[in-house]
Amino acid sequence: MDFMTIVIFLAIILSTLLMIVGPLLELKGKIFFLENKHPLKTKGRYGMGIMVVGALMFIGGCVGRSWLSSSAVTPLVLGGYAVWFAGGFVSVIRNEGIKALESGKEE
Amino acid sequence: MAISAVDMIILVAYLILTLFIGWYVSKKITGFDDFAVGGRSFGPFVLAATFGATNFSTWSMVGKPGVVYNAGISVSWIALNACACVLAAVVFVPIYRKLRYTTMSEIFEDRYDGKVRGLISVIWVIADTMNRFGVTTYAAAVIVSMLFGVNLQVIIIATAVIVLIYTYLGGLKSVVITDVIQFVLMWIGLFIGAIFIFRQFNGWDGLMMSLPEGMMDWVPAADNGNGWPWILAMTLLGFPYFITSQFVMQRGLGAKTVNVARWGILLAGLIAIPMAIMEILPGLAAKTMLDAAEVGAMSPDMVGPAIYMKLLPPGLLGVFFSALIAAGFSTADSALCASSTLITEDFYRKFRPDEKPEKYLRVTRIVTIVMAVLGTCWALLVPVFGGALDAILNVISITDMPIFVMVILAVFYKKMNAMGALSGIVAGTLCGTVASVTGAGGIQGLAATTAASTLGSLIVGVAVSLFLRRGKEEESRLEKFFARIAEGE
Repeated sequence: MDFMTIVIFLAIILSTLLMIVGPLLELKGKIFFLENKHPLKTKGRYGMGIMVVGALMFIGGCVGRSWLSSSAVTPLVLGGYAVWFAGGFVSVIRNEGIKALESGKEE
Repeated sequence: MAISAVDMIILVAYLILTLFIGWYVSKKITGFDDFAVGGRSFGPFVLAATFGATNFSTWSMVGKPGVVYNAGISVSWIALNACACVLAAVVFVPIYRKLRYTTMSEIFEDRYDGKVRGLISVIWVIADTMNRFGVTTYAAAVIVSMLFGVNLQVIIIATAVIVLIYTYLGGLKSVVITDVIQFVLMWIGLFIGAIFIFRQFNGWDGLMMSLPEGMMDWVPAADNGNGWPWILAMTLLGFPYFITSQFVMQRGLGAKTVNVARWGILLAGLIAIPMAIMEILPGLAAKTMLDAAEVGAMSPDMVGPAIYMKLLPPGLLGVFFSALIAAGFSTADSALCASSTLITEDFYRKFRPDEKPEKYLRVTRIVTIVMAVLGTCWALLVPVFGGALDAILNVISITDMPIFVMVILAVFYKKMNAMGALSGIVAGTLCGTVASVTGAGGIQGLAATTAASTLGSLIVGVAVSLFLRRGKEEESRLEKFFARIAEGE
């Protein structure tokens, strides 16, 4: 089996396990990620910054296809996509939010 | 085609299980809030599964392989637009949750006024009932009818009745629980298909080597129909779908806490990536496994099922067919639940604001039946409309971007006012329609239409807001809106 096949299968198996075990536990009453331990961050939002970099890479790669080959822009576009997700995870883990949410209790 | 007894037993067992869940959940539904937002009780994995199931429709399993067969790997960007979930999780879900919304349209009344909310509710009810419930039911029925040789109208009505029964009984809670099962079933169906396809081609590399030149491009040039402008447009269209539509975001409103909602939607975006790959495999495999003349003679919708029929043994084929029906159910039930909740919350509650929760629940259930009947009639009429349907769907898709633009402006542009929002939505919809009807953009028509509706709504909305000042009532509504976001309710 080649590298990509292994990556695809690992991603599928991991997702399948998560999506079967997770809902089963939740239906039994065990809820994950109930509260974020960090206070709301509206300054130093690194996660959101990473998301912006990802978006710029993605858009830049797409537009760059006007004069570059597919093999040249594909790493930029797919990389930008991955960076966008990474930024999202960092942002949610750190409990980053927009300034309008400031000074509020969470719910 | 002949279906084995094992396959038939799997199919029937799946249908019985779905109906049982609807009945079981209905015993715990006591009021409108239970029906509309599942009592705000869902965890992140259940949310991710239900987001995934809703996003993944019959078209993903039967329509998409036919498109991939002609266009190649870049079609996966349709499913990959779930990257919008990241923005939803990071920016928008905390706002919606703080405002304790039951329907997504509430933001338009809180920030703008009742007219804007009314207009958007009507657009969504039509889109959810006709486009999502009706057309999805039709698409699922067409395939089942072709596979089993049963009358199309009978299958349409049977599909609609099953979806109606469990949605009527259990509302969002029943929709979400059946979605989880449907998601697992779809996932297993696609996974089994992927194993057999990779075995046939000795893995991903073998599959790529079997393809003609140009089909492996992730980012084709603009002279290709699926080129980079199309990719940008597809990605952009994911934002209204995942961030502002009642159809999808109703689940985020049903999460137990804001953090649960954020993780649920983030996970939904993540699992869309392997799903996007699995979706395109049968279309790519068909390039080698099916004869060009054979494909030319069949409906493009049959490319995917034809590959699975060639590869899968009896028993596993039953899982695939169940997954196919589940894909249709999971989209249709969400649409039905969304439109019935919108009508009760946005119209009935306006005229009768002081009824008991049981009364609202009763009304929602009656509306669910009415919407199902209307959607089924639409599904039955789809073959009559033929080509006109494409135009209708196009018009509906044109309305998505202006609504999203108005939500962005509502949160990030304080000068925006109700008249600006109303004018922006109308202008954006008109610009998109003109671009679509005139065929602007040529081969990149989708990109041109998306750009026209986005820019039209943005420019007109901002210009009108700058030109017309807010009244005192609107000014106080604006202050209250941002105070609620900051303080919570």
